[in-house]
Amino acid sequence: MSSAAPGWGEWSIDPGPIIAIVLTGAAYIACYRRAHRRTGRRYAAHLLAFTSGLGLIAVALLSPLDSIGDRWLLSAHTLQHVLLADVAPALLVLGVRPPLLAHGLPPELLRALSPRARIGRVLRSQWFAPVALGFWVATQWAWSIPVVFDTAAAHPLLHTIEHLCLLGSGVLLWTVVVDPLPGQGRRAVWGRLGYLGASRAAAAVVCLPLTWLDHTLYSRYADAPRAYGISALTDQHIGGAGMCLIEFLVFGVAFIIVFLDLLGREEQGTRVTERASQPDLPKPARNPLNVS
Amino acid sequence: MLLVGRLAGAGPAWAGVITPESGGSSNADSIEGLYKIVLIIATVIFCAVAGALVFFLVRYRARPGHVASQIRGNTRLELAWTGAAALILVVLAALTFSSLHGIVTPAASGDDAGAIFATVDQPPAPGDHALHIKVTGRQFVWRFDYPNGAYSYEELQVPIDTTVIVDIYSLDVNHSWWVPKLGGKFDAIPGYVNHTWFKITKPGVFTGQCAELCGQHHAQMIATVRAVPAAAWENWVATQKQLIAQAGTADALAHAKLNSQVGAGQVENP
Amino acid sequence: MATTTSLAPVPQIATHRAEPDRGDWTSWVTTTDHKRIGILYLVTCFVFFMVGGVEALLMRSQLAVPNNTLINAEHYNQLVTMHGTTMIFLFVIPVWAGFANYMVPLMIGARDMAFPRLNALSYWLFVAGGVVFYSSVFWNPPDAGWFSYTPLSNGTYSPTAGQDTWIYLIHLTGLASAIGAINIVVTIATMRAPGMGWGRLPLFCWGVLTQAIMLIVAIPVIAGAVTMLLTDRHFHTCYFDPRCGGSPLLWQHLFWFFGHPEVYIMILPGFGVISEVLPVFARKPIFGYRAIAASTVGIAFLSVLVWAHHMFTAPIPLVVLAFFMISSMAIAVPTGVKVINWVATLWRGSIVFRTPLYFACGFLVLFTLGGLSGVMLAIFPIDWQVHGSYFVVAHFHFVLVAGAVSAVMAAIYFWFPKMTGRMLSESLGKLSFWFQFVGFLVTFGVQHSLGLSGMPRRVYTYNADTGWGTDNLISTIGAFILATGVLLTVFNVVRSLKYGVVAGPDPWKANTLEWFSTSPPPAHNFDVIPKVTSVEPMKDLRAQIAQDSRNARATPTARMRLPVGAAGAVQSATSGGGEHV
Repeated sequence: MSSAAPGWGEWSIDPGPIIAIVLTGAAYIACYRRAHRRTGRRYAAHLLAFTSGLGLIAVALLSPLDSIGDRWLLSAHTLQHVLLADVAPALLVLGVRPPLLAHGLPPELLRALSPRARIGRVLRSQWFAPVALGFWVATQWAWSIPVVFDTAAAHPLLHTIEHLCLLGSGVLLWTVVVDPLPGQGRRAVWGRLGYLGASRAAAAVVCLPLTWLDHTLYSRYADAPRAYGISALTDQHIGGAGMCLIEFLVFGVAFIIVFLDLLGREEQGTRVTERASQPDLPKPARNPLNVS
Repeated sequence: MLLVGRLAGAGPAWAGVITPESGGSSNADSIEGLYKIVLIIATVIFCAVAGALVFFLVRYRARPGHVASQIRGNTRLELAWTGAAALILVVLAALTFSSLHGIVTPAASGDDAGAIFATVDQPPAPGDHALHIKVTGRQFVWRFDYPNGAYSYEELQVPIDTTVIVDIYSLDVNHSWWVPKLGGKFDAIPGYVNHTWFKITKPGVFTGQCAELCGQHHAQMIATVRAVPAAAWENWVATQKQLIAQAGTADALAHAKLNSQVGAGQVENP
Repeated sequence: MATTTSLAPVPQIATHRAEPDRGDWTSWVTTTDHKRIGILYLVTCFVFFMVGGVEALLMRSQLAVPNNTLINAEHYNQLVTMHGTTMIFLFVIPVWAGFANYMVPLMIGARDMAFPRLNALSYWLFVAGGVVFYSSVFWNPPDAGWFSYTPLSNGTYSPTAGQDTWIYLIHLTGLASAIGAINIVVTIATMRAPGMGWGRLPLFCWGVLTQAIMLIVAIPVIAGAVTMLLTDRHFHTCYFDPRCGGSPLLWQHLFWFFGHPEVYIMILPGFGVISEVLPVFARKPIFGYRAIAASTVGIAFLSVLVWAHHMFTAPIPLVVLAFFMISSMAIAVPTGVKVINWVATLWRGSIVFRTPLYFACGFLVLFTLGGLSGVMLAIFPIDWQVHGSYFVVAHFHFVLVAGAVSAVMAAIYFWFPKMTGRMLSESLGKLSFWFQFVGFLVTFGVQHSLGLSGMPRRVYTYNADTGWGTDNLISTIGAFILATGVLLTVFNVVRSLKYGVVAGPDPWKANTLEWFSTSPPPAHNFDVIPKVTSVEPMKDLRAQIAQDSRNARATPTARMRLPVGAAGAVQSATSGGGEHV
């Protein structure tokens, strides 16, 4: 453990995360290019989401956020966890949302994901969603227990397992919410929103006490030298408030997107039915300003 | 735009008209500085919105032969102004955080402020050159307790060039401590302690009053802060302690006398 | 083989003896017709609005000059409490219940609310709340302010029963609102006209629906809090009393957890009115229907995350203040989107200047000002200076009077022809608008300065040496100008009931279904409910009729595809009827 507090400009060059990020990125590019070749379309929003997700993982694991969060500031550590368990997985899964996987995956993988194959069956099972939520909640709660949290921060191997748990549970959670699998069987939109809301309620169990309590919980950080000019309690408050704010705002944004999507799909569906019943109905004009 | 230009160079003439009071303590000045920036941004936004509204009302009023374009919206434009609104607010939040230090962190006392602590028996904490005053709100008066045991009502006397940390208590209902020129207000809530600070550089008198409805005479719950040179303050606070002690003795004597009289059955129990 | 045969029940037509409407006052007291209940709501609310206005004028008169002795300290605090409570719980919230009651079934093409008798119950509970509260003026009115902070409102510092009437008012009007809200949600969810998907719901209905859901979330919190206050006052519990371990801050948290959604409960239906009025008078569709609907629900979501910005000066950790600053700022994004979309609705329109449009544009200007001062208040260091001062008084009157009341005025001028069959006078309406607009700016504009120069709210008087005399006098004069404006509208309403020009079914050439019915609509609302094919069904219908009549002229044998009972719409479409001035 270094005795001097790391500055905000010192990035690490830990080979593990770098290799993982590069390999994931390469796999995604391959998938993206196949989809582009097959359909001739560009999926700029998908690409942007996935690369931002990978970028955030890099920030979480390689930036000074990691070294500062290890020993000095609880708030840096909780921010790292929110990035790993929520924001980055959301972006990654949004990066592979339909129709990208259907066009981009090699046939063998598509077959493995089909409803008849084992993985596909598991992913589509009615137990998948509750188990994913349970895993996410358990991860959030278990790793926040002060003894566990402090011990994990001190032991590199345990710390890596912690981060893998957070990232994995986040990906599973967002897989249910975004539903990136090709094919039918999509869950009701409001149900998925309620699902996301339940995950926020579970996160609030962790972040609200951190924000409001007037004594420190994590001795590792309470006893750490105060190198960044904020007291241990303020540090804990920042950690909790930051976690709450990000988790809630992510939900707010998802809520708005789902709502807009729902309005659009509802209107489209009604139009289709109406056109089927009344063939002489005029088609709405398509132009930039939607002038009708 | 003219307004914006004049505002940027606004002097004390604007204080209390379109900007908050300031000039007593540096935290009030920092709040005023932050307020001015926000006011300029808000003015620009208002002019843009109101200008567009008036322009459209005039330009697109109904005239013979004029047909309204049936425009239903434009996703890109709407995304653009959603993003712009969010960006402005991020800027405002960043501005706030950058000026927060000057507002919440007590400034250091002047060089010769350390000397006064000996006279008021305040144990000097390491690195803490601030005078701690306990302010207690009650219906309908403020009480000020000084570190040496002296106290006063309604008027708080403080030495200049010394950081004063105010610990705010309440005895009965909610009150709020507010002297506009010395920075923002902080509630006095029974069961809680609230804090603020100020540092006055020139002798002067600053007035304020309770800012939370506390009952019938809320309007009369005035607070005055009188800043005097350090030497004068030391004298005053010592005299005040002496006067209180004398009054206490006289009071005790009167009580003792009264009690003996009651014992003799000469006076009804008051 | 068994010989029992199960017979299908014979379909029967159950008949009830229809009681003829006797037309006297009992028919109003016993009514379950959503339109009559709506009118009862509106009339009752306006009575309370007048009472609250008189209370405001009394306070402004007391403050007009320094050291005034018109009203003493005790009565002033009672007026403060009565004015705030009346305007919020007995005027702005129920007035939207009134408009929603009248308009929502008509706008969605339903024949009544889902639960007509619950609807009547909700109205009478609201009346009961108002009567209980105002009965206190004969004894001891409450005087702890409309948010009744403890300990001031507890048994020690407010021993009289006035505070209890306030608690019962919250309970009764809260119950009324909750019942009404459930009714609205069920009505909109289940009784929309054929073809009216969620993407074609009128924006006023989106506003009312979102408001109803917020009421269902927020009312239980305040109901619980005032019950705790009641037991603290009378049954020696200790939720809020610090002397036995309670916390006054808990009251503030609970009150504002209700109180901030409450702000949007008061304004969201107003947003809906503006979204209905602007397109009609700009003669073009609303700009970004989906964005406006989405920002409505976005505001609703964020509104439960911002309550502690009312408590920035309380002893709360700095980081928590920062959290609530950011969440409060976030709410400015959907609100800003709405304002810009409304302004864009006027872009390239063909704007017809009628009184509802005046009030809608006045709303846009003043509400934008109120929103911007709201962003200032969200920045907590600035709030430390202006919290609890006249700056805040000015801010919330900008959003509530200029916001909610302007929208109410726009709604009155817009829908009065539908409710009564007669037009309001345009010239009186415009005069009323200018009185209200100018009066409002004068009254509350200078109050920003008063707050910045250190005048706290809720003081019954001030000394001459504070220098607040001039601004206060200006503000008082403005209040009387504003009151004149409101009285002009009241006079206009009363006069037009008898002398107004006959409106016809669709005087504005409006977009939504309520204009499909006659003015005033019959008890069953519609003879035939048309099929909805867009968010502007009346516009489609007029186009269809114009098309068909052209066809009919070209080929006299062509059958007109006209819905039965749409006679009113035909008349207004072909003759341009109702464009009275």
